Amino acid sequence: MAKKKTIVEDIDRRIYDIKNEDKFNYKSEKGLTKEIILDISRKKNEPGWMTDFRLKSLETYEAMGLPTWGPNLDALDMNNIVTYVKPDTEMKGDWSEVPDEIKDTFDKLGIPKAEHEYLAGVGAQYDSEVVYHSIKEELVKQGVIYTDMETAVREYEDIIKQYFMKLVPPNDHKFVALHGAVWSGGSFVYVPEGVQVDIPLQSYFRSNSPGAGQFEHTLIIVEKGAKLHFIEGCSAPKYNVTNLHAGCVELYVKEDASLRYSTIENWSRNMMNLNTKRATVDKNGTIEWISGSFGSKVSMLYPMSILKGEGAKSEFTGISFAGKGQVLDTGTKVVHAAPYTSSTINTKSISKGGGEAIYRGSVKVTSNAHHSQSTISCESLMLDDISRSDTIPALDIMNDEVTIGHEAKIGRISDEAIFYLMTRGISEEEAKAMIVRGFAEPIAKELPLEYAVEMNNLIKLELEGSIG
Amino acid sequence: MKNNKLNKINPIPVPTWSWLGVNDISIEDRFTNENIRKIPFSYQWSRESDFSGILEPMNEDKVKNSIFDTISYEGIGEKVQGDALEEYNAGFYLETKAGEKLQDPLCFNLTMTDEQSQVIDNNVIFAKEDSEITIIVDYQSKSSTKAYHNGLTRIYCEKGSTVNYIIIQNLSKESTHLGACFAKLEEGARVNYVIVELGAKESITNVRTDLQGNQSTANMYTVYMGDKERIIDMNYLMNHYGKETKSNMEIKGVLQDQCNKIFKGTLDFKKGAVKSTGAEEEYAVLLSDKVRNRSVPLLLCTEEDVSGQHAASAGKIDENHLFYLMTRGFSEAESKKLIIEAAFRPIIDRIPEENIRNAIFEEIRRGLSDAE
Repeated sequence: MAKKKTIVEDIDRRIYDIKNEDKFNYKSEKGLTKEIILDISRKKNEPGWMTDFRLKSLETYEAMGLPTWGPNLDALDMNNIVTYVKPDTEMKGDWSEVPDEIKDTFDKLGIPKAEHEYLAGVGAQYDSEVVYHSIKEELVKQGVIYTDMETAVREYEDIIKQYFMKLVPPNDHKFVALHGAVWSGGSFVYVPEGVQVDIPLQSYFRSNSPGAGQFEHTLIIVEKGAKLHFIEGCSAPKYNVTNLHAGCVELYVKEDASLRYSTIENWSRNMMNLNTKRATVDKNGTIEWISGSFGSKVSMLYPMSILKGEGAKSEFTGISFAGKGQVLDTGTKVVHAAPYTSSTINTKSISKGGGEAIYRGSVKVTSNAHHSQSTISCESLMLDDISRSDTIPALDIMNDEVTIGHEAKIGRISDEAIFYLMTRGISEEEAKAMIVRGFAEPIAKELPLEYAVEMNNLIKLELEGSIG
Repeated sequence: MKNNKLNKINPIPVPTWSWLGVNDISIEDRFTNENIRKIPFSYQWSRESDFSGILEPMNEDKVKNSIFDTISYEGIGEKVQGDALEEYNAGFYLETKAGEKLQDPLCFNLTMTDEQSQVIDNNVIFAKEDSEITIIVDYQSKSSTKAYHNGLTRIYCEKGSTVNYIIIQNLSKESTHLGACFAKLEEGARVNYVIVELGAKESITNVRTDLQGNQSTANMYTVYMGDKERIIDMNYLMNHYGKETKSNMEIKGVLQDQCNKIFKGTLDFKKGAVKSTGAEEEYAVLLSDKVRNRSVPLLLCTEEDVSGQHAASAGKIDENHLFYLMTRGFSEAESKKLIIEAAFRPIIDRIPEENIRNAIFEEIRRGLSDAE
């Protein structure tokens, strides 16, 4: 009799696949031209410097080639991507004013409920624009700013001008240049010196329009001694056309400040997720990345930490789950650019059903970064023999006073482990479920509770027969 | 006289960010002697009396229509590989006798001089069924010679055979060394490499092993010492095709001055390589804050039932060890030498010739004191 295999179910996408009618107030033409960009800028009523910035980014975009490494991007045809879709509403500060259909979607995604229960502020973006934004009064009193990027460009122009795309310049790579040209939406957070924001802020990005691109920009500044936890969620329903997400996240963590940035990304399987995230950390500051990648057709995402102040720290905790038809090329980059800096990288990946999970990372230690430490650990779990799992780390060390350790492992659920648990009276099915959950556990425990529950739901095990 | 560049040679099996500079390397092409074939270069070799296989200078007839025509190995790069196959002026063809297991090694010495500073050698080792052989190739040059060496060795191991292949590279600090090695293993065959990299201004090496047959095994033990502004680029690839194949890489090195080292080590588990295991471990001792130490340990996998792991670590000499030795009356420099020697010894001790081992340790000690 043929041995039955344990089937690990694909991610349950029912909630995410809600499709609303493609209603919009304004939608740009497909493709990318100077006229489209001028049009977007006009609609947003932006200052001239931003319009110029967009046009210059477009030039950069046109001059740059596609990456010479990484997943195949042939499915992406920029001439067929709509870069700007303005939803049929203005931004509201009260859910009751958000159009029913859009509100329903966010309701089903649990955003207003979460806001009520455990968040200090919420931003909700629908296609290209933010439709809802709120922040608790007491934070405003302490000088915390949490608003959409469009408002920030108008109301905090000096700050935005100083920081916008300075950490991730448009010439970084082609899709960042594209972002610079067509960015729309996103959140701006400013935490003043010494302010501890103990309850997280959350922005949720929902892409509804078929064949559209989403290019939100997130800019966070955590001043000296301040503290913040920011959560980002992303999803979209599945269409038969390719959608593109090329967001950009810039995080400035100042002296003694700390920032935790959590993401659960669950884009639909027609999404090209070519996202760029970067943090710069000053003296004794801390950046913590929690990153879960579950969705998209192709992802290229490597949050980067630049430890530029003495004693700066970074921690990256990531999990990815690549199912059928998915190529998730994810990882992280760390630059130790000052003495006594330290980094920890901990990633897990699971691949099944022909999916490809790739860890790609780099840790660089510059020549002045003496007494730096880095610990890297990557683990991959293959659930069948039609999938793929690659680990592509790089270490670049230019100082001798360092302690760097890297470890990676690849394999499947071991028969011995199952057998051991079974000898302890646990059923075979439960043993396997425990092992897969245990594999993901170190990451799951770092997630906010609701997300951890969601992740456990995402990795549902349908247990039948034996693994192997 | 030509003055070309060798562009984008020694590519990594899967590229990554180009700014890391690890995807490939470009160096000056110092090969200038277009008439190289007219000046054949002879190896010195010690022929064991009990060796009853074939050992001859390389000639095309020997490898024509043989198993070697079916091998597709790109080596370090098209031009370098083409030169090695077409323009060689040295090399050997070695074929063992089935079932014959030789205890003593065959030693080859190739010392380059000002008179003959450019050598391309093309070697073939054909291990017949159940035979076993140890080959030591020692590349040296006079310290004043600006040598150019391009070497290609292709190894084919029939069922159950074992080849121990030991390469020592100690060319002058102004030399270019391009070393490519390929091995294909049939069922139950085994190849054990020991590579000692001590010299050359640019040392670019590529070693690919195809573990084709079930239960075949490959072990790679490398030590390197890098100093001055030298470049050491190592690109090792273990391809697991057969079932229950095993590979292991152990790389140890010491870097000082402004030395620039890149280690690319890949374990590739192909579909069907069930129950295979691969391990890779790299350890670099850094003795200066001007070195550049890059490592890219790749793990590629399309088969679930395998186990692969790699580990890399780098840093200064353990201060506790250093302190302990210094309390025993050793100077700091002496203590460092002792610690490095101790780390390298398990690998160097795999070379079954005492005089060669001693020469290597002497060279390492000299190299370490140069840096003080």
